Amino acid sequence: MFRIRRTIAVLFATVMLAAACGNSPSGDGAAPAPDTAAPTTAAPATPAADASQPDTVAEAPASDAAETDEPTEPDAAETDTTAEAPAPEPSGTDEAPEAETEAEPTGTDEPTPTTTSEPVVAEPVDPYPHRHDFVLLEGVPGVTDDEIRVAVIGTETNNILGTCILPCFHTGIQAYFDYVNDAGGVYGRRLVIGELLDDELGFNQQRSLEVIDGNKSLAAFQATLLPLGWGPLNDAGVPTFTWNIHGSEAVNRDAIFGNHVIGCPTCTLRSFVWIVSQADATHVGLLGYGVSDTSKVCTRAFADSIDLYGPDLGMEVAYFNDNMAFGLPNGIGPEVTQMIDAGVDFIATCMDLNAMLTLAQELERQGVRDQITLLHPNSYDKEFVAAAGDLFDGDYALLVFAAFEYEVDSPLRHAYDQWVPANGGPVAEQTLVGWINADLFVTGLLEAGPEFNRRSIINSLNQITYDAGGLINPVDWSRQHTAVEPFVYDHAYALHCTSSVRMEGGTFIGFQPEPWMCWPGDTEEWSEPTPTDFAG
Amino acid sequence: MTGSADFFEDLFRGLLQGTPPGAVYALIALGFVLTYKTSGVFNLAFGAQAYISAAMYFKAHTLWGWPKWAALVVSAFVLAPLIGLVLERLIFRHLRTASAVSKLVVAIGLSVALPELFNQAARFTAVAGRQITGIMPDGSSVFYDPFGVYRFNRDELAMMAVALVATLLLAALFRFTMIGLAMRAVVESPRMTEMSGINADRVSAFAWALSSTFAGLAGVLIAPRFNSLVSTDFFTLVVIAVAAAAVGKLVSLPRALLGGLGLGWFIAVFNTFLPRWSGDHTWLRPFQENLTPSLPFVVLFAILVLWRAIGREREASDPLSGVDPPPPALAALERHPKLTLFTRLFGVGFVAVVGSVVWFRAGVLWMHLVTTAVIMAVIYLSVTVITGMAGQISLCQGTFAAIGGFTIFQMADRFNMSVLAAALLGAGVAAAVGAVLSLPVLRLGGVWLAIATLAFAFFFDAVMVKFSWVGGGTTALLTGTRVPRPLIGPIDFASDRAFLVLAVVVLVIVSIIVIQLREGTVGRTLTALRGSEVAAASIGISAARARIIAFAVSAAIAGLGGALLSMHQQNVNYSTNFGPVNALFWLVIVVALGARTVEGAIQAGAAFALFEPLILKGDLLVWILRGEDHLPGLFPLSGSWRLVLFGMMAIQFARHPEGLVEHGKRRSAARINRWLEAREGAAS
Repeated sequence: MFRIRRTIAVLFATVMLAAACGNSPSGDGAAPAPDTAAPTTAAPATPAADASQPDTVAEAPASDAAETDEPTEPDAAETDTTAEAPAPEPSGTDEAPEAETEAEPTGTDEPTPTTTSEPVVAEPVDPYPHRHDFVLLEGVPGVTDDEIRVAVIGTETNNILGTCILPCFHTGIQAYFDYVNDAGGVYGRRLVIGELLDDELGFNQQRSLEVIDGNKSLAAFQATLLPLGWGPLNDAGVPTFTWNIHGSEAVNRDAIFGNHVIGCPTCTLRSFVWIVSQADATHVGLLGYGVSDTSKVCTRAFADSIDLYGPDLGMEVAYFNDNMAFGLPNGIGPEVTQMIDAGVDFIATCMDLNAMLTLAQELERQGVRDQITLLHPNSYDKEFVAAAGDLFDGDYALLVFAAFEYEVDSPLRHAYDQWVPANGGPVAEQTLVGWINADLFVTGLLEAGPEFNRRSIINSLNQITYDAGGLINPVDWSRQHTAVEPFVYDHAYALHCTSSVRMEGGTFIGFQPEPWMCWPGDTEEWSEPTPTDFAG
Repeated sequence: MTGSADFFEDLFRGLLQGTPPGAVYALIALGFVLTYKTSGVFNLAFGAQAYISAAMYFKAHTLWGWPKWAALVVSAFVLAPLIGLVLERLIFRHLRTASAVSKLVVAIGLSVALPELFNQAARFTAVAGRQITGIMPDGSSVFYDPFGVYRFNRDELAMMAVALVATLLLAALFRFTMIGLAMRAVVESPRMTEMSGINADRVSAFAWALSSTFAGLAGVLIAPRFNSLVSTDFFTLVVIAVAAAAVGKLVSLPRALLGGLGLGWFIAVFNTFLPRWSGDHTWLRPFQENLTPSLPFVVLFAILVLWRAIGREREASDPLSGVDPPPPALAALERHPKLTLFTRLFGVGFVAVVGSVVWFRAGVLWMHLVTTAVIMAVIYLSVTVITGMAGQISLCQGTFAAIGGFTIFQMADRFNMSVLAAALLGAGVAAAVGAVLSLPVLRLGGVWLAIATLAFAFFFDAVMVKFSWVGGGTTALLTGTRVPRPLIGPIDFASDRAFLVLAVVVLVIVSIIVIQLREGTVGRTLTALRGSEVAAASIGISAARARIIAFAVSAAIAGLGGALLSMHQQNVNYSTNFGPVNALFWLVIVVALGARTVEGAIQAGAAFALFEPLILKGDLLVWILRGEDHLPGLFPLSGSWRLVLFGMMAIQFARHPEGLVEHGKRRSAARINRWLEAREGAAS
């Protein structure tokens, strides 16, 4: 009994001590204080977009710098032999460094981007005339006189999705680096992937800490399923470029730059309602996984969208189920029967591509496959759709980048089409993500100037709006690191856009007049979308 | 009248829709029963065996382009029985007389190791969108509608037919053939069987080949239901199918078949009617939202807890089945005083040297790894209490740890409470949950207790985490489940070094508590219960009270460790850290190294965090060889080998329940004791 009393006494003392303690204010795990972590309050440490860059460069992002600038570094002669090669076209635009004082998101005055209607600049001006200026740098991790080294971390082993993640992401980055190096590199240095790390699903934090500890890389790239390392990389001030399927791990972290941002997961989606209208559907069924908050919130956002816009457009939610078991181990027969009974003619899900296959097969089994259109959130995979044959005919896929089926007259896209296949990669989402991430990194380098370091890259990027040459909906990094609440658009996209494709005969078909269909981002009122091409 | 007709039509359709998944559960339940009847092993590795054959079939047919029949023969009729024979020869032949719990631990070790071993050896990974084509021609695209209500495809019909025919054939095998009788006899008493002139080894080998072939066939047949092959899906199916096998009390094949089909029917009918009823009765809505995804686990838990016959059959027929020989004394208690002194000095020196190196030389990575090792040691002490001291297998320690993590997240997020106070609160909440959980599962004991705790872990995973007051809901979606580090007066534990000190202090305190428990009344009571519950009860020991205490203390320690881990990572990271399948590895690694001692838990913590970078990645070798240039080309090895190696080590649990390290220590101590005694004898 004495032992027990002694143990209890020690425990009690420990409780009293603990109760008198507080929480550390440092680290991003501190009590939520989004404003303190938001990039808008992070004063730039260096004059990143330096004064020597003319204001007008924002209007000429597509200039071909490599043909006009001679590299100044000694080995430039070697690169001159590739003068015919396409030059890097970083696509960041210097927008409003004073954005922190403006409540209105840029572009809200104009419902559609006007790059196509703006006057064409006759004489392309290189937005980054210093791109080949060599400055001796010391103490910048991963930077030598010859190279700028980065780390690539991703999931290959134990990839439960079975999709090509790390290899394709790596190929996209490597292809972009080859493309840039072919035109002389950046600041007289070659871009090199110095560390390629497979996080094997469960070791992302460890691999990220290896990068931090080794201090051999200027920046990190991440395409992972479990992003435990994003926090440490952000805290260590390592610019990190990610396949952003993990919105919660990116928000309020000013060093994390995704291939897109998850603007407002709980907001209504006019793009979704528009797709339903394209299918001439009226009775919508919605399915989501119960085990995943992301899936549940996505499904709820779809339902809210129909509830908000549906009455005017003749649509209603006829079936809603956000409690599906992950992987559909019990099949989906009863749910499909109920949807048929409810007259559903359009089903949108927030589930993976494997579940879409199960759903389509069940629809076929119950004889209604040709009467119900599906909306696929994650099925933009050519091999997958080709293997399904005509099973998905008439269905739609929603994307966060300009679908390959649309002509995007952007040097970055043309270079992608050339360099990724040359590196043995597929023209597919994951290689494009790596490509866009790499372009954003180089944009950060160029914005930071020849005397760059990690912090100046981060701060520079956090002052610009970036659209990857029209491949993505422009992201204003001065304000879009922040978490978004429903119907508060201050931190969301300036325009609400979608790039959608239809499936026919085992392939994808573009049906939009332009790569993007957009709505004003500062209102939730319904309007017809405006066809938009950010590439201009 | 029409409404009534609709009801029955819907009911009939629901039953038909539930038949294919029911046949899946039935196939696995049949295999489960078959293995148990022929080997006495509660084979949680059945899913792993099925997965290997399914993956082999997929690789051979889909990726290599073999004909279906060739792929089927190789995967189900060559590879599967071969695996069974190897398992029998190397492992289970030596475990015939081991306790059911020991065999269960071995099976858990195999369920962790086998899929990874296959994946590494065959370089197999899931391939999205490349669905397995079933064994029938056009199996998924040709449908039959026997009742005009619901269509079945060829693969499903084949699967149902195999389940039915297998039930009949296997039942006949056991009832009417000599080999069937011999297989059952070998399980009951191998020595008595051999005295009857039957070669028990040969019969046992046949039994394992048969049950493994069935596992392989089941794997190939059910694989088309998955759109990508992942071993954890097969494991989850096995857990669900245990409910069906339990209907047959693990021995009746027809009941297992009916149990499987019944489970499929119940889930389908439930999913057919509950949504429409909840539309009319809003009070049903929460049940529909929360119960639907977890229904299989709720059913499993309900069967185990409510069906009184479960868990008592064997004990009723065999009064000695609950009697295990007392565990051997710890090496530390038997060794020579000089050796004890030397060991302690060496231990103190080792800790001092390693601590100094870590403190003065470690960078952010190694500081993180060592801190993780310390915290995992705290969590593993919970396994020491429940498994090492109480002799019970709990497979929901990850859930208790998650409760600790979520408690500090919620308290810090909602009330800005000190995370240290919240960690203690989390330990208290976990203790309360553990105590409450122990009440209904107390009478089960052994393997059924393990399965009940696993069902609880899956239930927590499927239902509880979804509640915003647990998992964070929309808040977690927007900003994750981030938690701060603690602050005590001027000491800010945001620094990794400071936090390591805090973790070490907690480990020391928890270690002392565990040692106090082990050497106190509770520990001795639990030891007595491990020996013989009946004998302990006869001298007035309350088994219920002791087990509730053990469960509560174990859960509290896990909760505290989970809270620390969340503070360390500054995020709860539930699915990475605390998922039900992840936590299986915790048990495996602790029992492999030593579940009875504090040192065992610390070694397991160190192995969990440091084995991959030091050994598999080759950092230790780099240090020894003085440079990466000399590192052999095979490094770095995949971290998956960690699962393989410790899974394989866990299979030693039956022979060395004290763990391999403790076993090695005892042997070394005995040898040195003899040497010291001989030396002292000569001197005197």
